[in-house]
Amino acid sequence: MAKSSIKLRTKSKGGKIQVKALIKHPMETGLRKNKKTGKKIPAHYITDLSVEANGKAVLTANWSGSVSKNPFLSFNYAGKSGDKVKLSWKDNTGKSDSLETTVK
Amino acid sequence: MKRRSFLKSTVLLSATGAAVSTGILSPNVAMAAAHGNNAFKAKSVDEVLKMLGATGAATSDKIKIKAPEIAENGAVVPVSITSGIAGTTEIISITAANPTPLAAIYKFGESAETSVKSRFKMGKTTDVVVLVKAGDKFYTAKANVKVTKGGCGG
Amino acid sequence: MKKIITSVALLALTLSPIVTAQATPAEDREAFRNYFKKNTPSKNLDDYINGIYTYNKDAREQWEEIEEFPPYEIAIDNGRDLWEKKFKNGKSFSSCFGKDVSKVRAKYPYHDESKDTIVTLEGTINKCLTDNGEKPFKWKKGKIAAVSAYVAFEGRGGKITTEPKTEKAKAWYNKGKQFFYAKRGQLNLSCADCHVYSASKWIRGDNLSPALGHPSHFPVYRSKWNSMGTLHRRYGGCNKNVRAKPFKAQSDEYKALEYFQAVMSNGLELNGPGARK
Repeated sequence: MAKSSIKLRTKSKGGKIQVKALIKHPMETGLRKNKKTGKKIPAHYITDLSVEANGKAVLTANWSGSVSKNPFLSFNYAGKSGDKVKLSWKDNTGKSDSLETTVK
Repeated sequence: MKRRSFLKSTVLLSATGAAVSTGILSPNVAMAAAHGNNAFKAKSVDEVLKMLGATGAATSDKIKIKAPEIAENGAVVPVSITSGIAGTTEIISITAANPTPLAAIYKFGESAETSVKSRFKMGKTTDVVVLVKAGDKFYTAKANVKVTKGGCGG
Repeated sequence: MKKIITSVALLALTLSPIVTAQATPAEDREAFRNYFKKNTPSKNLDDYINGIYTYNKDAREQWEEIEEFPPYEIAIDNGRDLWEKKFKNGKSFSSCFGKDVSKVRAKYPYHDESKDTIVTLEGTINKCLTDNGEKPFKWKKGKIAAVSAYVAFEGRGGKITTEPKTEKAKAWYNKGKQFFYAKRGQLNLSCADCHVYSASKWIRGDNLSPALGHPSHFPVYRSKWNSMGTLHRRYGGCNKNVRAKPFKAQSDEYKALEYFQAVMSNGLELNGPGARK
């Protein structure tokens, strides 16, 4: 079973859910050169990301290569323990991944 | 308003249509390109604003940008943006000095707090220009981040 | 013989006002810490394990933001997988290090009397691989840094225990001490010049970290590297920065330096892996 690229943490606090994610992804801009070959490293970055709570989108994002490697994201939404939170992403090469967790 | 955006997407579709048929873009990515923002290709802040329809956005002190004064390392700069403007639906972050300044567009669902933290790459000292969309209007604020290079850590 | 005399003389020159060539490691350590306490104090001794963040508030805020969900967590996960993966012969890292991984980090580095060498964590990781018929990892980054990160993480809260007890161990300690205080490179700087005498000051665009506490938080995920790296990887980079030819990772020179640094930081809390610029 392939390991997820997504690390997702949720915490219920005072009527809101804190969502924190760390995603393993090179986020290559396409402008960097390989120091040994001198060739440009192709662009490879997450372009679309969405976070759903119980099937409904709470946050969607469009990213560029300007977002740091192994990107981090944090935000809050009004929710409760037991919520099913799912983060999905898609990159410019067509690769994608998603992960779901249940808020404790 | 609707007609303009319809025309825009038609143009995008035909350009990406060619790309799909020659196998460069997969259908999924083509869809994203058609519905997504060409503003990501813009090379200046003004161009980004123009493509987003945000030219002339009013400055607002209800937009809080938490970013370092001097970035430790331009590769990973933590930025936190909060909008206190009623009816906020989008927060947009633009790194003015980067080759393609538009960095991120965040769209908030109804239950989400209009605040988001992420980490950005900044090639050199830059303004972080933030746009907030609330209703049909755009608002703006900015913060400056100094990026240094050189020395022993650099 | 001449070389030794010159270096002792150099040592005497560069060491004062902090330590003398004849002091014991414990005396050196006390003088070292008093120097920091007097010249660049941090809120308490323990905070030195946070390096430059003990001095620079703006940098500390950025670091705390990154620590909220640090990029080295990915390396810790990879390290854990490697730690648990069985070798071809059925054994695994636990067979070499013992079942309780939380006790591993605090053992290193130490002096092996019978082999008269300094034993480091990374050295032992690769020895475990080769002893069990596996290919060793590369020394500075990638898998070795991932395993080191996992071990460091599990060992958080432990204390640095490195202390030279025998004459042979003290000889290695002195070798490391000499390296630390010797000028090198085109920029003619010693480790002490930047990390003791100029700790908290700026060198062009960089803020200098204190040497006290240096080994506590390695391996590190450096934003500059966008990856994990071991202590010896950093030593090499640092030597290059003063335009000195770097030594090889796990060379005698860097092992001695690591040993000396650990002795100076004996008793401080282990808080690796770390996130740095």
